[in-house]
Amino acid sequence: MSINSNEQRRSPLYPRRIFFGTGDSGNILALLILWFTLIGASAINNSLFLSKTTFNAVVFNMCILGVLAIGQALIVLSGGILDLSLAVPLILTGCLSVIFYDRGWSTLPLLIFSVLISGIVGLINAFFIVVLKINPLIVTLGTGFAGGGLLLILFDRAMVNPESWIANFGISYSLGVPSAWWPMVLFTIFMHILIKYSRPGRRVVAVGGNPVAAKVSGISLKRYRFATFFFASIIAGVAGVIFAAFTPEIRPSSGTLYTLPMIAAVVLAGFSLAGGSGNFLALFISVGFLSTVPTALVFFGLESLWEPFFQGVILIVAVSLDALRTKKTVTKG
Amino acid sequence: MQKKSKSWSVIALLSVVALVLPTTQSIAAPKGKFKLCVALGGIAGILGTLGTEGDPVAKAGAKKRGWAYYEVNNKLDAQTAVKNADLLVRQKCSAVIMFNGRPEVNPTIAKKLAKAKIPVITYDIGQPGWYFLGIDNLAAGEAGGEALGKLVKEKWNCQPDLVLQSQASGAGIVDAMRTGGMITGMKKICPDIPASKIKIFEGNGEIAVAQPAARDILAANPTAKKIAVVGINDAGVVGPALAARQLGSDYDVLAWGQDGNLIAGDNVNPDLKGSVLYFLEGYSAYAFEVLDQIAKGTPPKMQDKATNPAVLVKPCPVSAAQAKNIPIDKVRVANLAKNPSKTLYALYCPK
Amino acid sequence: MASPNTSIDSNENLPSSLSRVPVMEAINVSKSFGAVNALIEASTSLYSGEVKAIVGDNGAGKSTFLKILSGLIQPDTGEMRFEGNPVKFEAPIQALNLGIQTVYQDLALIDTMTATQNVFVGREKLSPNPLLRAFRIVDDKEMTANAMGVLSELGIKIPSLKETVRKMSGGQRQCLAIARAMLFGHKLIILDEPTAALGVHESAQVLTVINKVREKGLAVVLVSHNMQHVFEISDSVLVMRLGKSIATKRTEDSSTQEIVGLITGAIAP
Repeated sequence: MSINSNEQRRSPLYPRRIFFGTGDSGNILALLILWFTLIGASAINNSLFLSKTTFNAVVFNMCILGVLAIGQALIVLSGGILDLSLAVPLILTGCLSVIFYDRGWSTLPLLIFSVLISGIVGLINAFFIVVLKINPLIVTLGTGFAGGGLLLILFDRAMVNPESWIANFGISYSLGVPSAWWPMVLFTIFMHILIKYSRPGRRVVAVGGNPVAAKVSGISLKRYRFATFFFASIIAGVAGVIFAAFTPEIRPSSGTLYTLPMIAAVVLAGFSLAGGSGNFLALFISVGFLSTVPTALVFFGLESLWEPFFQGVILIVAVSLDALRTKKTVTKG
Repeated sequence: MQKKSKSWSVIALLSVVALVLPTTQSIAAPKGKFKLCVALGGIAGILGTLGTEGDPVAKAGAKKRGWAYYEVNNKLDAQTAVKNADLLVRQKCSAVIMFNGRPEVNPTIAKKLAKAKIPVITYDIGQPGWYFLGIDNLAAGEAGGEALGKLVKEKWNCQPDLVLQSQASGAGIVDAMRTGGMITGMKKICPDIPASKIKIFEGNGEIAVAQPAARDILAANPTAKKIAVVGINDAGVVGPALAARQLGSDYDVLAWGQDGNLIAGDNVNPDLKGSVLYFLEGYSAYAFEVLDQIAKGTPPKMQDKATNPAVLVKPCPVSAAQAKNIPIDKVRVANLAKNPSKTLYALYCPK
Repeated sequence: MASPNTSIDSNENLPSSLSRVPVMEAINVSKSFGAVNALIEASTSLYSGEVKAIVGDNGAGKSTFLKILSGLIQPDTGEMRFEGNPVKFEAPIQALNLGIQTVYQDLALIDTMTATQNVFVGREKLSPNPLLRAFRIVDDKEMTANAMGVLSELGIKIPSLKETVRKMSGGQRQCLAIARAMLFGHKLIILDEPTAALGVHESAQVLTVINKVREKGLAVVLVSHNMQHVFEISDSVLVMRLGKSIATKRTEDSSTQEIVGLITGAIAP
């Protein structure tokens, strides 16, 4: 029990953040600079980049990824490490919404039921994690695989009626921007207020930041684990409705396309994989940046084949920054 | 010890059951009679009815020729496929039509069947020593391209603003023949489309991939509004068509696909003007070209590659309007079984 | 080993407590984990306005005893009394509701949250606005004011209530944890090694705060290995050995030598 080492680790003089000051505002500023640098460089390279069409293309890129990233961020924030199974509620809701539509369901019950059914995936995850105390990565990897396989058996594919409101939602505009963007915007505002200013939000952060301290403060870890995994699945389910709106032929295998980008978005936004810290406004900017990358690549004349390469690089850089941050600041493991 | 012998007998019993179970249909064979054996793929969606419900075309053809007929199902499972190979050897098949969705065990199966000197015809998946039967991808590409070219000429006087080529490089030579062939075919009608207007991108034959990629290309070419789309399959061209719809109502899109997956049914995308049908479920009608020569004792020379096939299936370009008049695959295959001397192309391809 | 077990706290040594009912009492409580008897008929009484230090060697049963007092675990046998009435804690929240607060060594704070958020974690105050209240929106202003109040009451200085506690020194963190306990535990504060891993100056800071808590009339019980700190802060000392509570001494009447002797077994109780 060395007194000195502990003193030093907790000393206020010890360097905390690697870049741009401290806390959320520093992180948001850094991300904004990153994003505007990319936009600026693309605009200098080709002035056509600053057009309404480019803006819309980027916005469309954000719609599904953004909503999924919000669900993933909730998991990370609450100390659930990562949910690798979010592709399952995504596809499940997508297929269910098409099936319910074809059976003549009206919009509201269709949305509520297809999204709620997807929440079951989160409850199954939470059961294994909370009750059987299995590592979340292993559980969600397993449910992701099993769920993906089951979806292949249940729905070979689902076809969306091009005349349906679902398909129309995927191409329509509201208030001058693609309608499919609004779920992401609204979820961002909702989650930001929830986490920063509400009692349940505070407790999610507490559970993620230090589960033992949260527990001795009278917070039920089980309840919060179940709630976060359930809501993450629900949010992924909402992304599934957008997926159905964008993709008239839903293939169960397509869901995994988003796994890497959504983790990259969450980590780049500064959500600590150790849990307990992260900002949803930063996540919005992070998704915006990642959604601008493929569009910018095209303007720079690079083939879309380069996209996975850049996504991978961004993920590794973001995870490394997170690791460095954690190493320098966490007082104990 | 006792327990062990007991478990062995269970395994033995199970394997007997396993060997017997895959047998679905057969016509008993007197000695010396030619025996056609078919190994089905085993999952719907890959070969339509050929996957799960047996191959009525092969059966009808065998019956017409007075051959014995025997059928197993590989069930999209590697172990089952290998077990089935042993079964086919024991059945003393004269020739085998093999559709195996788990090609990694094909070399093993090939060894077993070669040892028994049983000739094999394979569908769409190449294996050295097996007669290759498959769609003529290059012809499919060119036929689709020509059909699209005619529309482009008619609507835009051969002057599209942009041609989106939605490729799937993972498919290798098939992709080159299909998407490349579509460009070749289109240029037969509209030879003056400049290369600078053709944008190749990776769509992976998947809407969720092709759509955002096409969106970005359209953003980078904001003045282009008349968009022609070709690709490796229907999904690969519907994605870009939707991308244009998302970016604005001022786009005019002509998309022509391949494989016919999204051209049938009620939910056809209005920008998908046509596709190319392969009639996978009727492949066996072509197999008799090779089988008849084997039965005569004069087997044709080995052609076992996609680039050097024994039999090429003729592709059928159809417009969206024509596709509405073509019945579903179950009906088609039943009808073909009643006319065993024909092909689905002959029966259903619009003239 | 063969020494008789003082099964009941020798209250005759504590004239000031004679007339009072203890806030918390443990009478002959035992706890075993499998084959290990962690606690064997241990007893103690905790009085308001008094600091009791529990000392003993490693494995003497101190932390098990502490956990039983804080309601985190339940004794196998024996009786617990709160203000003279028997109680049984099924969950920590019951102890919390009675005004019993525990500060666990190293586990007290959530690094990623601010000082105010840490003080109110699990007991966040909701906004007075009925609409915001319905949405479970918290009242940060009120909570910051309350936190500031209790901190100044205890003379604790921390740089900012709005910064994450990650940046605070060990002493500041410990003081903050005690302040939080004080805000919600109006009866009994339980401290597990409050000065462990702290420097001289920071320990002094923490001891000052504990002293202030005693002055507010709360009962305090703490476990410590540091004899100097025990003698500086406590009113009485409970010595534990091999799972038993072997002696309770008035601090002013005892000496480091006596206590250490009792701990090691060199002196019979």
